[in-house]
Formats: sequence, C-alpha cells, structure tokens
Amino acid sequence: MKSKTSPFILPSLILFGLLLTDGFLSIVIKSFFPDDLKMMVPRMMLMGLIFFSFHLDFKKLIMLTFLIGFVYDSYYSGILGIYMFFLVLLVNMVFHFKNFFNRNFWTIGLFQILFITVFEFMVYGIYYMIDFTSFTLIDFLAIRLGYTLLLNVMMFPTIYFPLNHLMKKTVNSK
Amino acid sequence: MNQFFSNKKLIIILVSVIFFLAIFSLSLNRSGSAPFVQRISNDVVAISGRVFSKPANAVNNLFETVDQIQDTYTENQRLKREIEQLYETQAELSVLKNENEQLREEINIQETLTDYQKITGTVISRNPDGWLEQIVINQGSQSQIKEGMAVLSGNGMIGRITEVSPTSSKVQLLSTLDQRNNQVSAEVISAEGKVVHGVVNAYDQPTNRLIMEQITTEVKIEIGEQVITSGLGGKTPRGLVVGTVKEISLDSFGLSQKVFIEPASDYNDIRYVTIVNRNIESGEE
Repeated sequence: MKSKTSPFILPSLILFGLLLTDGFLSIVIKSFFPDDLKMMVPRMMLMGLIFFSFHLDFKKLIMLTFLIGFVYDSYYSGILGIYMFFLVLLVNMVFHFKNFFNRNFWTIGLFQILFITVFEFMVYGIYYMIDFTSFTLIDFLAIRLGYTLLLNVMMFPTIYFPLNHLMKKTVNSK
Repeated sequence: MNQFFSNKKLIIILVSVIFFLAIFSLSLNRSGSAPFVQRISNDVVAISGRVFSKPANAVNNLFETVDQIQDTYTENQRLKREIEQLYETQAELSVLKNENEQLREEINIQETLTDYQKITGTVISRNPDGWLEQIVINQGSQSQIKEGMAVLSGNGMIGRITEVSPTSSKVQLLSTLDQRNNQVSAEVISAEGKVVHGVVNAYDQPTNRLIMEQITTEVKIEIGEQVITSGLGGKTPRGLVVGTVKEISLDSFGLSQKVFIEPASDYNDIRYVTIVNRNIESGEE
C-alpha cells in the first residue's frame, strides 16, 4: 500500500512547497532588484515539474500537473486555465522527448533551459493576446527572458541534487 | 466519421482544449466573487504561504536594517528639520479639523467622501510571473474586506482588492495593464485652488510612471503638484495620494491633457498594506 501511494503524495507536496517558494522568492527578488528593466521570474515549480516528468509515470504526472496548475492559476493570477493548460502541454512534451536522452545533471539542466524558454514564450503570447502587457517581442527578450533564464539556471542545482537524492531513495526502498 | 470517433487521443485533446478555453474565458470575464472551490483552495494555499512569508520578511528586514544604518546621520539631520515644520502643520490641522466638524454639524452632514476606516494587512506572496502584478494579503472577508476597496502602502495608493477569500485576498497593483479594474478617478488641486479631474488608467513600465487622462485643457497643471483620488469612482474615498505630476502633454487628438505621474509608493517593495474602507456607501450594488 505504501509503495503505491508515496510516489504521488511526496511529489505533490514538494511541488506545493516549490509553488509557495516561488511566491516568496518573487517578493525578495523584487525588493532586492527594483530595476524595472530587469525582470527575474523564479520558476522553481516549473523546474520541479520538469524534473518529475523524468521519474513519474504518465497518468500520475498529468493529474499532478493539472492540480498544481489549477492551484497556481487560482492563487496567483485568478485567471484559470493559462498555467493549467500550458503546464500540461509542456509536461507532455518533456515526457515524450525524454526517452531520447540519458538522465543526468547536464541533460536535465538543458531540458530546464529549453522548456523554461518555451514556457515563457507561451505565457507571454497569451498575455499579449488578451492585451495585458505592452511588451513587444524585443522588450520581452531583452527585459525578461534573459534574466529569468539566468536566475533559474543559478537555482537549478539547489533543486536538482536534493530531489535526485530523494528519488533514488524512494526507488531503492521499493 | 467512424474512424474519427475511434481515434481516442484526438478526442481527448479536443475535449481538453475546449475545456481549458471555456474556463479561461469564464474566469477572465468573471464579475463578482470567485467560485467556492477557488476561494477554498486559495485560502488553504494562503495559510501555508504564511509560513513561507515569515522568513522572507525576516531576510528583507535584516538587509534593510544594514542599509539604513549606513545613512542614518544624514537622514537624522533631514528628519529633525522636517519635524520642526511638522509641529506647526499639526497644530494647524487640529484647528482645521475642529472647525470642519463644527461647520459640518451646522449644515447637518454626517459623512463625506473623505471619511474612511483602515484595516492593516501583511503581504503573503506576490505573483511570480510579472504579467499580472498581484499580491496576496492576509486579510479577507472575515475582516470586512470587499472587492474594489483601495489599498495603501507607504505613502500612497498602490492598488485595489480584486478577489476576496475568507482569510486572504488579492490586490491588483496600479502597475498592471488591466483595463477592467485599474481605473482610478483622480484629481489635481492646482496652485490657484482649482480642482482638475481626470482618470488614472495606464502605466508606462520602462519609466515607471502612471498616466492620467481625460483632463480639461482649460486649467494649467504645474509639474510637482500632487495627484489625489477624487472619490467619484465609487469605492475609493477622497484624498488618498497617488503621486506627483512629472510631465504634462496633450493626448493624441490634442483635445485633452495627459499627465505622467510619479507614484508615491514603491510598487516593488511592498510588505505591509492598509486597506481603506469608505464610510459613505456608493449605492452601486
């Protein structure tokens, strides 16, 4: 019984924690770098999700993504559907691409960079469509994407090593 | 036809796209409070979010203290000078208040647009993606918070309440480009004592300035004058500071003036907020 439930509950708790971490990191980052021309967006939860799509099976993964996407939308923006849809889409993509690669620090790291970029573009696209941003594509690339990637690449090891350790442990105990 | 319906994958994709589009448009055009499920989930997240916001605030406060110690001396000198002026203003203010009350009693007015009550709150988290500038605070409908109330931080107005849950609520900052919620009816009291009305309805991100439009060209506005809320918009009281005038120009048709405002409070560094509840009812609902 335990081995059946734990691979779902543990990741969802971790992702929930990462979601809250995103929220408080953004307060800290905004107050440390108040420059409006350098937007850094912490994407801890997204990195966690991409990591877990290497380790969980498909059904659980999609369910988890759907739930966490709902919480993210509802808690942070109040516009349902944006993160829910794009996260599910993204995790789908990662899940199908992952079989072509080995699982190690560097490949997962490259996946993170690639898919954070894809995700940022998707979210920018939707907010541009509904007229909630005045950013042009150039603004978006210069002000937002570069700094966001920089921040998240720096934070990636802090996510990867603990999670990797944990995943190894749960697999071994099974 | 038959083949189409037997393709299970395609059906799933179609149904889920329709589902997502439906909830997306429904929540985008929502008026009034959020659905029950959403309110509950927001509250659950907010309660656990409080645990996280404590260390964040502690770290911020620590760095701020170090920062403040560095220029304590000059600040102290400046504050001493300001305090001397403040005593005079305070005395004048109390006389005026007293006089105002007496006059009000004589003409039988109980409440005006300037009367309001304050509720204080702490910021729990902030929307990580900067497209929709929203913060979550730790006060909700249990402390009489309603949608549309104005929110202050530091020296001036920073935004409005857009969503209320039992113990938490969302504040949308004035720096968001959202035409649904982000219009503040404001006024400038010019040097000659004339009141000029307008609407603050846009934000220019690169220069960090609010834009006030629909201002008559007949009155001249000077740079450096203060912009305050006029209380004519519905739920905001009169007299909350929005910012100071930085630049004046004509709008694209040349028919009205357009004023660029430097915000009175910093939208990037918000930790404690004051929610303003106007006493007088707007009679909207």
